[in-house]
Amino acid sequence: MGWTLVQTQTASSVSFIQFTIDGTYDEIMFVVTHYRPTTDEQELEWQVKTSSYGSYNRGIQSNNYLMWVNRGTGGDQMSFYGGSPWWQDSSDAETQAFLGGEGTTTTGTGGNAAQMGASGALTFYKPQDTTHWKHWDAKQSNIYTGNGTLAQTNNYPIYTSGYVKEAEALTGIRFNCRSGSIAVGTFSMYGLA
Amino acid sequence: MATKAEWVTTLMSEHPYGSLHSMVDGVRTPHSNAEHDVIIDGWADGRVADEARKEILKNGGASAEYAHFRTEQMIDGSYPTIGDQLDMLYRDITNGKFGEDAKTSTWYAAVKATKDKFTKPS
Repeated sequence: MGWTLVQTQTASSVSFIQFTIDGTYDEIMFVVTHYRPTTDEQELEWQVKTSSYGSYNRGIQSNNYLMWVNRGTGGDQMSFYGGSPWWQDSSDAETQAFLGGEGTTTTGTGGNAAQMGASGALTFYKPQDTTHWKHWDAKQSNIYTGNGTLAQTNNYPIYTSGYVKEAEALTGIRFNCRSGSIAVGTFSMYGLA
Repeated sequence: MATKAEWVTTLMSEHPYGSLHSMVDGVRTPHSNAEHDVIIDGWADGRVADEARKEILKNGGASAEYAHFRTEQMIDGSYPTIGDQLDMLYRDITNGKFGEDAKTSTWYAAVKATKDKFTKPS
């Protein structure tokens, strides 16, 4: 049996979006499409709570790699992206970056903000396990405008993975911008039994 | 750069009490004033961090986060590619800018062997 759509929430100027996680599924995946922050360049982040810790500030150990090429200058890289919170130590207990916020769209010719945004998927493995720390991974595709011009409008995929350093069951997840509201975005939760 | 307190004032002006909502399991709910304050405080932290990042990108700096911003500069193409940098190094050694001993180095010999094997058409 394949992935089952559990719930879809459509964001419209909200400070955060939360999903309740129960023990129905072995794996859960959150697919976010056409996310756009109210304020330019604000990434979408997430945190979780557990059965005995009701606050969204659990320890997350994470890492990433980024792929990027500039066809104009020939520059390219596949590297670790050092920007926090795209990686963190479990003692940081920060919200974890997931999707890039689009670049400057309020000035210049970088593009119509309504047409820009980011999409991606975040998967948790055995979120209800009560023995092991909880592995997760995520991929994202965004549109970034370096300086508000079309010439510097590009895409750079970032792949992140890690674990929530909690042996008890995950019971909820919260998505929010680093600063400001989530302007738009469709958030769907899928489960794999 | 604005202070955190200034950002709190700005954000409160943009988002007065009652204007912020959450969405939990499909239900949209306005935040209480106490929740509102916590959210604005967090957003202000984010704005202060953003401004600090942009300041370092513009003028340089040596903060603990510098490695992050330096990486972003690379994204913007500030540095030549690694391949181009190595090619510059090879040419400088060939031209004697690091002394004759540099031409006996393991790295130079390995690169030169490949270049000699696959000679670029003139």
